[in-house]
Amino acid sequence: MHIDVAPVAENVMRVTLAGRLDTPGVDRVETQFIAALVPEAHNAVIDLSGVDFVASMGIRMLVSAARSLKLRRARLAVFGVQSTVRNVFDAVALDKILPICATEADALAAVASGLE
Amino acid sequence: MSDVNFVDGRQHIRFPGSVAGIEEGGARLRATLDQWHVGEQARYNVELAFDEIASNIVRYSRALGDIDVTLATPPGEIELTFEDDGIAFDPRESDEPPTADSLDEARVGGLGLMLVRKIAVRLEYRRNAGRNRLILALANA
Repeated sequence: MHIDVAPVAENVMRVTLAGRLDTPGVDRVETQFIAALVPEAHNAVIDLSGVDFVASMGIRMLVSAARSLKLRRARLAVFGVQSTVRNVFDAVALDKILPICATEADALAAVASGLE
Repeated sequence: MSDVNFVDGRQHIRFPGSVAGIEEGGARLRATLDQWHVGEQARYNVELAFDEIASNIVRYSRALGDIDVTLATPPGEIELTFEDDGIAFDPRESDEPPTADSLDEARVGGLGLMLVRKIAVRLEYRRNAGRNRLILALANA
């Protein structure tokens, strides 16, 4: 599991995840993932194009970051979701909790539109 | 140390009840699915069921011994049998693992089991001699 964090626009961080968001994968990246976004309340777009597997622990990590950011008036959107992973997101109706976007531009727009 | 035996479409994987153990066991599982040339969606479902059930056992069951997973291929299915010596827990009945530490954890436990129930075509549970035995069948399409 690999994580890379870089600023992509004003007060927006891009987090690129690669590998498997299963129990061991989440165990490896969760602390860094939360620490990169939540304390400074950065808006976040999460590139999942390199993630070929997500289990409920991965969904929990994304939802828990999105919840913490919402309390700090920031937003999180994901993009580039592979089709098998998308099936799992659909099974738990994740799109009702956070924006699932096709491209990074869409994710940036979704994050910006949430600022009100 | 995880341990693998491969005999005629049947595979036994034993791994410690820890996150590192899940990683070892998961690698063996994926090697088996490679050998068996399992299709993309069936493969995803097997890996998902494995991670959800193994994760629940490790986080909630207080199992002391290793976790045993046996894979088999009855016609049209891939069948996983999980055995552990943790506290009795029938995932067909409970929405939440019995020892969740917080509401958030309980909901997440529920999420994993909800996914498993959605993808399973058959789910059998038996408690015998202090061990949980869960049989979970997935479509091998």
